[in-house]
Amino acid sequence: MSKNITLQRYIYKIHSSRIIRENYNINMTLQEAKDNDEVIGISESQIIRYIDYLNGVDNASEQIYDIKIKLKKLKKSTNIIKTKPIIKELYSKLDDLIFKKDFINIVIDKDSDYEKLCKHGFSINNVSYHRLLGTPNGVKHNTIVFVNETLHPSIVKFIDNGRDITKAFIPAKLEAYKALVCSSSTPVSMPNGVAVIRDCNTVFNDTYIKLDDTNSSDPEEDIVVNGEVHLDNSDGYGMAMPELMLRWGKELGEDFVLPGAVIRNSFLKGAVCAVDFRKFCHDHGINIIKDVWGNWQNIDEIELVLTESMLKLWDSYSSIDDYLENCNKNHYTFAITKNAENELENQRVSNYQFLQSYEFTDDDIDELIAPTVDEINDIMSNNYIKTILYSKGIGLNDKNIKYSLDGSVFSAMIINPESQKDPYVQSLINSMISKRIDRAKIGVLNIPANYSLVLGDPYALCQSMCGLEVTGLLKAHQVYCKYWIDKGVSKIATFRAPMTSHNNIRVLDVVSTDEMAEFYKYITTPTIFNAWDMCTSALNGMDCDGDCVINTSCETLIRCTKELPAIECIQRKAEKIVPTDEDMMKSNIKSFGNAVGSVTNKVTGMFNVRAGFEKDSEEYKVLDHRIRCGQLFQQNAIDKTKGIDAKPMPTEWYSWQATIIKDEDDEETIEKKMFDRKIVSEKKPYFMKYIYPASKAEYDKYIKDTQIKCLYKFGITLNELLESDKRTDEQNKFVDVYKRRTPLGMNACVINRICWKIENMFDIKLNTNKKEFDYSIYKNSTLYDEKTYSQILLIYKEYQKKLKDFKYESSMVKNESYDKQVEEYVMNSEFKKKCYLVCPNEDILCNIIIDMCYSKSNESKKFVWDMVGDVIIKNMLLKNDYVITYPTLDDDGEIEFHGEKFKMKEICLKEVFDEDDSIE
Amino acid sequence: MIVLNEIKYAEDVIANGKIDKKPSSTISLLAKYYKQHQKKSNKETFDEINIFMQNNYPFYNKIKWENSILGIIDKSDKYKLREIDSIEITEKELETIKSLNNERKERLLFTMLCIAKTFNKTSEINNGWLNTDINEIYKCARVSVKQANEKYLIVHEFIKLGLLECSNKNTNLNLRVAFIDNESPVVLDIITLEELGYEYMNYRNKARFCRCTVCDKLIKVKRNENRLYCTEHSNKNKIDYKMSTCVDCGKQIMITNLKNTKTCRCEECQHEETNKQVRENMKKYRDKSKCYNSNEKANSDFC
Repeated sequence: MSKNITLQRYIYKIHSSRIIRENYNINMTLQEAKDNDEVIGISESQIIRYIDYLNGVDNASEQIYDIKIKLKKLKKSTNIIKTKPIIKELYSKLDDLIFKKDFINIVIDKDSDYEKLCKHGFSINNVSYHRLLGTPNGVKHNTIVFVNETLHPSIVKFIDNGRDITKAFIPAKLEAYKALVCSSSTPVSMPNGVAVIRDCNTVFNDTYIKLDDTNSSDPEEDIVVNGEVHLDNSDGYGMAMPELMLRWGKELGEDFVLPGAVIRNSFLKGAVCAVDFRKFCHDHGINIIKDVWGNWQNIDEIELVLTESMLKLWDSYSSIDDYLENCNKNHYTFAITKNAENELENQRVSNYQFLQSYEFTDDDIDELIAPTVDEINDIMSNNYIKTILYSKGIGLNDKNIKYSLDGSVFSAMIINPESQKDPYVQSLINSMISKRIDRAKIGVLNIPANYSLVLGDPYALCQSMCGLEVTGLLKAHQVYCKYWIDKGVSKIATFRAPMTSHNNIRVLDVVSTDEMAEFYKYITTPTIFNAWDMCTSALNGMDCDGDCVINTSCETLIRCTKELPAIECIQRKAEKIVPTDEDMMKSNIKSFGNAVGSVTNKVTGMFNVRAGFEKDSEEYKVLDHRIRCGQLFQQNAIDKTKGIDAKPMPTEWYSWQATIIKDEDDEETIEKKMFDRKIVSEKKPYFMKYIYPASKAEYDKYIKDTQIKCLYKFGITLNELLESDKRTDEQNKFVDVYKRRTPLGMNACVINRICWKIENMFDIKLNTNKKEFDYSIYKNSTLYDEKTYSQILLIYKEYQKKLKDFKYESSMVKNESYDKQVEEYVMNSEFKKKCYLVCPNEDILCNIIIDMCYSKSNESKKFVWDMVGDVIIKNMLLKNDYVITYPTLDDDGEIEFHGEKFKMKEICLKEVFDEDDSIE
Repeated sequence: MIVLNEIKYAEDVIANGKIDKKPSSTISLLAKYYKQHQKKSNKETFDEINIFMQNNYPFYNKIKWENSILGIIDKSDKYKLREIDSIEITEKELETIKSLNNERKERLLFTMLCIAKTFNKTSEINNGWLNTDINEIYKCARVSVKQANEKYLIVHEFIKLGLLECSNKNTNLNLRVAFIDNESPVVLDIITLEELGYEYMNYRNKARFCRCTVCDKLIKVKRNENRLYCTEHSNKNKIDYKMSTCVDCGKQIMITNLKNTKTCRCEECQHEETNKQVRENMKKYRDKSKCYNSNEKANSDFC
């Protein structure tokens, strides 16, 4: 799926405790807020566009784009006395457009803070704010959206979009529907005719496992053989005529019929796929269809078919015309959040959730890790071409090479291979290698796979829409995916995160008939699931509103996947009410926090514990049951965010303290507690030290402290003690305690085994070869004055301090957090702006920063590439007369990487760059 | 760093704007000082620390530090402010140390003894335990080792000799000095815990030392050399920037050139000031030329 690139807007994100400490009134400039890290970037959405409209801002995106173009041109000017004030003014205009003061995020530190803020109200720079809503993702992180009090009534009216406000809803669900206006999206044109139809429901028999925790905290597990199953095969998706998908594609800058797209509108969420449903109707002699309100619609006047599961509040409107009229009145448009691409990738990476439930032999593991090991060996081979291929991807060609030349050191390597001698480049390559090795240790392995949008069978939906008998084109256990059909693959394994047990993996038959090829011809990249099996339940409650799956043809995975029945968890529903603001607030408080990750981690811990028992043992069987129940507790954690009172995982499953025997315990309880204690999953498995820096620190400290203590106590190293066969009682006790108290689970579960294999293979220390490097290859011929240099030096010192703090904060959270990447981007943009305000000419700035950081070995080179990386690339291209040499796929090539052959190709980009007027 | 008299040290920190490599250590010390010694409330303590940080910590940001400082202030009553004038080392203790007959080991054991006795003075129930990082002990004892494990093997040797004890828990690295004897006559008073290795060498007359007139720290000197200050308090101590306050808006400014004695305003205020001066000069110039022109005109009229 490719996410549409929308403009970043800045908003305040402030902690509730800070507002209360400042007596509900904060005064600060935008710059101060940025310095305090109280400004975040958000993508453009319906609500941001509506706020722009309320403020009389027309075409904000175009204005921002224009300013960025002007800035880019001005930075090239050598007349800095003239350009300096203009640049300052443009940056200030840009801030005004990008920064949205009317929309803020408040992080609720304490539940009581939330009530205080709502009751008391608060203001920032004399603008008062009122609670608007909590988005599902925001609420997970205790964050609530507040808006300018004066705009609040208009925004509420806009969000309500003329719905019947007397209708009862589950508060959390209504809140989630309202929050759809905050989804990042790109507006597209209005379709010529819209219909909302009933969902396509099918009934069939299948065998499944039923989990029910209504009567006890330990869920009851029953196998239902050939039970009746009701399936909504069109849950969350609809259909669009190919001409509409082509038009929308063009509006997004694509030149093909979008195979599928995830769309938004008022209370509308879901995916649509390109299907010629008119032809289907005509072929079956049908001209009119009945919509969800019971009105008949002429199929020739319909371009977009939505389902009732997509338009969440369809019953709050009297007809489609009523809905669309309200949308029009309230300035809603159809918008696309992401769309299916034209081609799917050939390789993806697995993750530990997908692999942990397998029972691999050592040979299977060797087979599975082989492509990843080859890749690591390739990038370790000191061959700069392979480094380019790894960092820039294997698909470089004449068309995309220009876009690959971003302001990174790897782009510099393409232009001038001399830059590989740059010590910073070497350290970056080393860090890239270590990161890849560490990722491999946690099961991130290269597999032949792709990530594809999920759809039900649109043929079945067309049949249901026309009132025909629903048969669909696909039968049970069948799937249609053009990519795999073209590759000649007949079986694929399918995964969807989050998953816990082996029951969540499906091996499906890839099929195609002429009828399918014709009917699904526009659906080139999404995966179409049949309407006759429990695949959606098996894939952890998958629906089609934009969900994606990973499909793989990896032989090892397909061979080792066992066919197990799907798990069906008991569903609970919360009470429907006509919610007031206070009900919404209470519902938000109930939903604060996110336990899905913690449940998943506990289940991962159970796999590690299970690996310590024989397959036939009682402990193994009970752990197997608990692992299956993981899906139920994941479901419960999700239900909690919907305001439903759901049971958490029993504490004795993951906490040793819960198994402590008390005086009042009877014999049966004591026996149960003793059993629970043996299988308690309280430790993260060993491999997780490469995911959580805190776990790594705890484990490393434990090992280091034990090693020191061993030397203190026995005068020998820990390894010597462990290997010794003549240990004293005291030494045996020491070893026993050492093994029992390890903070991470050390059993031979699948991912631990993969981790240890990779650790043994790549137990190396990467060193930087100190070669002489002439950094003047990055510079241009302009000169600079000392005053500007010292002003930039001040900014650099501030950058160093901020980077140090940022690195420290990043080391506390999970590796590769997306939020941290956004934060780093915002930080770099801010420093870039500061630099250009001091020195508006990019060439002068570039030389100053390069001299500042490259003349001394211990200065940060990161500052250079973050601030003026793009200018360096421009300088290098100029010096090379825009001629570059890059590796491209070629069957006759001599360079081998990822099992493909490559050849170096020379190209002159002078014409391309002369025309270039694009923004960074 | 372990300090005998935290009150004296805190006053020195406030007077000289000293901030530790770990700013939280300094904040913790100041929090204890203001709350326990100055009897200030949490809010007053926060305000004092905030001003101190603003004046002495480059790029200090109140908002980002606020929660950490408040957290430290909340916990500042947990440990009492240490106010010890000296640590008394007795004859028997020194004899035990001397019996090792190895100067490096003696220095190390002496350092451990001093630290343990400091903790004993801080807490009545301490009973000779020390939880100081072993690397810090070696650094303070001025003992270096060729192989990392040697550091721990020396401790093992002390344990075997019954001079030290270690805890039963596998990962607890605390050590207990087992030869403390407070009954024997005091022969040595330690007034600072910095450079304990030198203190021992000084006592044993193994080298020539001077004491810093500011902090009482021992400085190893050559035979004919005389020094008044340790490195920290000598003028040679280099920093690459200095902080100053804008005379107009009061904002903290960082000056990277230490020789720069002219800068007294932040960038914005300086810009305004320059504009103001330019305007005034222009006004003066215009007035002057007006006056000149009018004189000229008057002269010509007169003519």
